[in-house]
Amino acid sequence: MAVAAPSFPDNMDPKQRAQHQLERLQETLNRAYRSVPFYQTRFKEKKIDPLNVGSLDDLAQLPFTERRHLAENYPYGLFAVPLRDIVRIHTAPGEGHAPSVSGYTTQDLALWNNIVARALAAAGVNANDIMQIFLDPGLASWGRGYKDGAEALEASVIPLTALSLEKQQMVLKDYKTSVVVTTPSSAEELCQGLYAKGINPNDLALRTIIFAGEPVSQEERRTIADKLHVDTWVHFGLSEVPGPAIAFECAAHDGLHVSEDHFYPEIVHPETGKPVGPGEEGELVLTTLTTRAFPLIRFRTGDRMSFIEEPCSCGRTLCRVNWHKDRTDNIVVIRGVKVHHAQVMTYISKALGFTPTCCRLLVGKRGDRVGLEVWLGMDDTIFSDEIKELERVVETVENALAQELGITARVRLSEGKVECSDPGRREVAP
Amino acid sequence: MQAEQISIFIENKAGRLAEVARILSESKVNIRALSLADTSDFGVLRLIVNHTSRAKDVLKDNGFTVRRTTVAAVEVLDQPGGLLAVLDLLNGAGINIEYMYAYANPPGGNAVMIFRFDRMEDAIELLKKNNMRILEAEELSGL
Repeated sequence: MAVAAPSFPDNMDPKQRAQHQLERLQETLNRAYRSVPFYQTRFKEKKIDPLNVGSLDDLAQLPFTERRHLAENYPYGLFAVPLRDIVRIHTAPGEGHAPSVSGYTTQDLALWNNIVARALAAAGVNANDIMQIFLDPGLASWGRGYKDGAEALEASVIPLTALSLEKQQMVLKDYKTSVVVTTPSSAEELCQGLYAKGINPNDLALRTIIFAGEPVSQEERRTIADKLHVDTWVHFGLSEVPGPAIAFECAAHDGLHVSEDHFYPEIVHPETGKPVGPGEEGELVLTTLTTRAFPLIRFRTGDRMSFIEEPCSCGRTLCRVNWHKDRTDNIVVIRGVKVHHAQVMTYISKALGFTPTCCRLLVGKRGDRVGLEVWLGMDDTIFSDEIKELERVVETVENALAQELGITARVRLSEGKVECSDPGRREVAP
Repeated sequence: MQAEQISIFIENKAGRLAEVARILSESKVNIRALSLADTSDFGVLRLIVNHTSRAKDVLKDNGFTVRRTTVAAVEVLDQPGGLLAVLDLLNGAGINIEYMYAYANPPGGNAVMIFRFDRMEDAIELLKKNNMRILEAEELSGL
């Protein structure tokens, strides 16, 4: 059985690491070219022979891979190995008509164990910890990634299960959870729930919260850290290449280190696609360097990031990024789940049997719970002079979205035309 | 034998009803009867006006979603049991009322109720057969 490509030491000399990255990149490009028609066609269109890619900078000549390509190649079109070598298949909500499907070989799973374990270890997680995974069903694939990574560190894991907030709190307290992996939105709910029940954080064994799925502001972090007496750590991941902990915080809590030996990061200007200047914000583009089943070449993440140029005080030489709240695409992140405007329209059309004129996606709150809010623009097809018909529309769409996205959605009917959400702006419902 | 009503979708927030009234007033449209059905988020305003087409056009031009619906305007005796007589007839025939509301200030002393039934034609036929008076569209908008 082949062995997963190893991680290099976190403090490796950057030049030496770059050499390893180049070798892994060349191998990845060759495999993608040889085994995936999609990549072969696109490389040929640009007259690029992967054998001629002689430096990491040459990567910039290759075309981008976008989320829509994942849907267009549904389900297995981007796999680079025969299906018999695939041991796990993950699905993430995609863009357009189909979800994104990714596959893993045995080596790929071992690789992810390493990547996640590395990120957890940087947050101080060890064999003495009891780690509880508390994510929405839409992030189920990350739940498995975290479970495997924590088990690799020999921590005790309480895996992702469909428990109510109430039960999660019970487990947190009674099972003496020391580490929670969750989204900032869920952490806030958990925190408010504990206070509402009069549970003093001193009664808990909790010492660490790992935020996954969405960026978090300093203020939000401080609030949760102060209220629950915990240290908080941020992880960045992708749901398409599941995915968690591709970049992670170290004890310096100053930006996220990218697992560069497995992913090659670029930050580009969202409109021109050209690299941004040092320290400038742009869109994160990732190329996988070691995954076998599902190589991604220059995948546009839609996440807004900037490189931190200065070396980190922790001694790791893995490059660092700042993760910014806004996005470069038309995606709203709800409780870590990426919700795409076009995808929501597809689901709504399917549920109603016709395509409504417009809808707008916002981050809404129902009580303490953060969820998706969809403003559906009223038009002649939706409209009825009977309230019960309009309520039926709301209910149908809410049910369909909850089922398709794995998060709660609230639908509001709006007068006339609602503007489609601005790309990248995280709009909070009034 | 059916009257015309326009229904307008409005969000449940301050000033929307006044906005509809302002638009109609500026177009010299007179509101004859009105009902507002609402939920916590939105409402449907149903109107009978003297110039249905004009009202629909100006509201549409102002970005509202508007629909024309046919309804029945039924004269109801202004005495105890007046409404019950109508409802009993419909009930006996298994006809459902989707919604109903009262007409403002009808002439001749009797009340006029606006009805939307699930089976409009059956209902009208039934009411007429039982000597209930149903107002014509012109009669209604000219009231």
